[in-house]
Amino acid sequence: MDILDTIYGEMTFPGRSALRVVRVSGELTKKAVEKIFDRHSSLMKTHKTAVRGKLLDLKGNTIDDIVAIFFKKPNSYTGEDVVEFHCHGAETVLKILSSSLESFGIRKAKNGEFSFRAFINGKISLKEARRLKKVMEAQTLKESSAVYASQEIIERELKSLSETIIEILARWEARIDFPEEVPQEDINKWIEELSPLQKQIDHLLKISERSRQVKEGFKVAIFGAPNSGKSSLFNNLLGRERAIVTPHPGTTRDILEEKLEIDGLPVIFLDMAGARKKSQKIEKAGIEKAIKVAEGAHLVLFLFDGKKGWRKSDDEALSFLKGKKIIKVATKKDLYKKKSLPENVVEISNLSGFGIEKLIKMVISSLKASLPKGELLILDEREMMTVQKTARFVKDAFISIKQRDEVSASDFLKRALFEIDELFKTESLEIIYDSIFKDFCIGK
Amino acid sequence: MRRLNFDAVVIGGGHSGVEASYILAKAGFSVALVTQRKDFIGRMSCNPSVGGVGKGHLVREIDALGGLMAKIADKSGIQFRILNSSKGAAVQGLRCQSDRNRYSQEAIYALCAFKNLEILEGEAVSIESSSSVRGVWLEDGTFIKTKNCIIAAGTFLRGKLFTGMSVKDGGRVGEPPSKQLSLSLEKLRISLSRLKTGTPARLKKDSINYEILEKQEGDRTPEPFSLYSKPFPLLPQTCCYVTYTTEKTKQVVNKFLDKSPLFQGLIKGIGPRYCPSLEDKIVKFPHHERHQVFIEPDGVDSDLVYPNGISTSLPVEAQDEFIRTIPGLEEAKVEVYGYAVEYDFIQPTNLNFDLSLKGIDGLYFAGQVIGTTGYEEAAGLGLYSAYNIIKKLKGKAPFRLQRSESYLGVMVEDLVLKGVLEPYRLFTSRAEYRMLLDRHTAYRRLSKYAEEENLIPEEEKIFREEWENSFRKWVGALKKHKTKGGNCFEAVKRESSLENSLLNDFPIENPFMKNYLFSEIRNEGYRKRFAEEARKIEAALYVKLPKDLDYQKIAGLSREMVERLSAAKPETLLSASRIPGVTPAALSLLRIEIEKRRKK
Repeated sequence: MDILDTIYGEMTFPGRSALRVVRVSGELTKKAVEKIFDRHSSLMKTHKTAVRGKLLDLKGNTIDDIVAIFFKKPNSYTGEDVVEFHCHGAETVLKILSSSLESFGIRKAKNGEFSFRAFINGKISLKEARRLKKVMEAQTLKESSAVYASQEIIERELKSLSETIIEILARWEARIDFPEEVPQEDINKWIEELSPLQKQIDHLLKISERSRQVKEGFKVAIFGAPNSGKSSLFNNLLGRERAIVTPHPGTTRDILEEKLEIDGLPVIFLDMAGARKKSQKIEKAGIEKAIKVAEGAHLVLFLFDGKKGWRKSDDEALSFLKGKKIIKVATKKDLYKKKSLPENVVEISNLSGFGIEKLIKMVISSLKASLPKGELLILDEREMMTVQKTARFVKDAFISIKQRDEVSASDFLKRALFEIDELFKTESLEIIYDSIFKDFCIGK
Repeated sequence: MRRLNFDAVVIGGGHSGVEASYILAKAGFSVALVTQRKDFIGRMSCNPSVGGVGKGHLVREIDALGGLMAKIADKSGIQFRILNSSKGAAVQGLRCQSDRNRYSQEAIYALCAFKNLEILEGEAVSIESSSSVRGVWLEDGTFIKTKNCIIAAGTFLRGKLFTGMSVKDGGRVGEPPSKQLSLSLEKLRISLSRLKTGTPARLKKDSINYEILEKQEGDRTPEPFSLYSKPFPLLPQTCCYVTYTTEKTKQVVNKFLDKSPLFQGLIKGIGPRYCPSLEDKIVKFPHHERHQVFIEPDGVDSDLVYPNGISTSLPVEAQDEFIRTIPGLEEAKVEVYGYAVEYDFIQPTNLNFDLSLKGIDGLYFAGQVIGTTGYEEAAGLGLYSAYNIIKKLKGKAPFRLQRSESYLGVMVEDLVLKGVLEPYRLFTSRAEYRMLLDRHTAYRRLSKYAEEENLIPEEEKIFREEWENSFRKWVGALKKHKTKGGNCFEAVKRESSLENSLLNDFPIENPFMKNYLFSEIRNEGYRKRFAEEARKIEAALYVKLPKDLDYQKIAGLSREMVERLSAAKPETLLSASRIPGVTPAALSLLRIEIEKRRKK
């Protein structure tokens, strides 16, 4: 992404509509306008004023009757020279306009690029830019309205963390830099002072982890004995949501992954086909691998052959998955009528599709139950990185203080604080000093 | 009218001026030190003490860089203590009590040893300059021709002394201020602001009842400031005493607040929060029952003591009264009364990183006149400006120290980039990498710069090399020597209480070496980690900004950013990021500008 390029982009939603708006931003805007808009000279004399004229192709042929607006730098959204073309909705007009613009070296804007420029040029704050970015990234309408709310919460959480750290550091640094004026405390007191941080950082880590889940998707592992119908279910699930499924032949011994979006939630189904083989050795390795994958999953669909019923070996396999959320699934419903099955079993048939809809509903409600109550907090990559780095430094501070090394602990804590400072572009060191000189009478 | 010609002229014979002249003379250049009184060179105007947490680190760095302070502090020290001895080595601060007169004498001896250094008694009244310095005029009409001048005037620029509601002109008690030099600087369009500091009364040594006071001894095996001090200690060692203010003290101080120049608005300059007057402490911390007072000896054969902690500008009758409310001081006789001093200073943001003024080539400033407090800070800046004149005279690139390599670098960058709102004092917490900056490693970090300019005599160089060799040998021996659960090195790292038992097997008598070793053992792991981090961060941030960068031409930079950046002229992205008010958006633009230029 080169900030120096001139860019264009359609401002209206792609598709059939009466009007479509294309925005061009950057140095080359003027040059392009001269060639493709007949009333360019009057347009470029104005600012924020609609000028009606003809949109031309490169040979000078009129292609549309349009309205153009010029925003002179720096008083535009991006802070650069901006022209907006309000064209009629025909796809061809847009195609010709795009190719004309590209012939001037103007390229199509990437997602969020206009806002990024607005930020770089000081038109919007970092906070606003990040918020806009998240709104654009949000996939559903529900999500984007949640973003505005959650951004406030995340900032509040991080600010409160930084306040706690400042409070601790003010005491610690006072003891370190002014040993004669500030009462000295036993190392246990230092440990005690640090401990409230643990809760706060754990909380943030949890938010960060959930946020990652929402972004990356929830993993649902399909687990079960050979021929219990795992691959069929996998294909069935995908088939219902997607047009084409092409499971690679010969890869059945490995894990197949497919990402779906169901009811607004990103879900990754993991097919552990061929987890159990006849040969003892391979079987063992297969099970171990399957268990490992299942352990990393948020939910396990535990499949067994409904016709054969629940068997002792299923109990054994289940014992490896202790503590996991599990939905027991009896397959091959088309091959049996009634059977005594354990409680809470979903019966399905991959052949007829019986029970699949119900299973999907159960999967979704189970995953949703694991989301935090209240607002859905979504951290972007940068925030997640801040939380993780901060957590790491706080952990280092804990380790150091337990080794009775208050200086390193203090330095690590300061690093944690600087990570948050970096995110918000604040400077906390002076606040620490303010706090020290307010609370302690320093100076001999 | 005399006409003189020097490579450099230093105005002011305080701690900054002493260090600057010493370094310049040591480097072989001809130097004139202009001072009002030769016998007051290196005078300690406040507490008779050198070092402390952070400050002690600075003194060690001065020693590593070939400076004077550590050496004369060792020669005149009458008590040595390591503060924070129970904490990690990185924040242990070496401090000494000094024989006030002896310290000053040692400074004078050291300077007088140079044939190429001339001490000129008199008052500097103006700087002759256009875009560069041409010379310095003295009050008696003498003109000193020079291209390089360091103004290290301390608190003397338009200094005013306050005791109660009476105001006197003065740079320090008993000495007149420099008024004309301030005017001359203003003529050069240098804007000056005001700061304030203060000092307590001096008491007669034999008027104090020591019987009832808490005694404070120095370390049994003291560590010197300088690696090269031998023999050490030189003077007989003494002790300090501790007492406290009382409820009565509070009452007396409160009674006289209407005669306090500080609270009555006579003093306009801002004083340091970490060095408040007693009246300040009592007003700001009314809930504190008492405040500590340290009774510090003024010298081996001095008949005075310095009551540290009761700096004041209250009228003399208030001083007489409140001092006698302090246990042990009931019969105290005041020899000199406490006072506040208000003085002109130049906001350090007006300086380049070499401490020269932006716009006038060769005009350097150092010490309290650029908004610091403390002898050590002043000395460090004097040395730093002198290093830069040396570089300039030799036609080399300016001298610059990184934040991760020295406290001196931290201080200079803080001052030049951020400026000051109150007199600046160095704290260890100001450094991002204090683990890398403990006092023992100063020589490893910095002596190479001194050697580059031939500021370390051959015998010291050899001594230091042997010293580092012997250190490495000890480390090797400790790592080899097996003990419970591994080698000695690791054992001590895990369990610091093993240090003493280890000393039975390894009789390391020299406290300097002993402390160095234990610091190394304890910090080895962290130091490596922080050093690696510092290296990475600095590599990214020390991307140089082009010197000819015209901020006005960078598209998108707001006028405010253009002003701030053009004023600070940051050398690197890091420096730019530290300028208050510079937004991340502006930094991104700078980054882009560099990228753009690189592509071209």
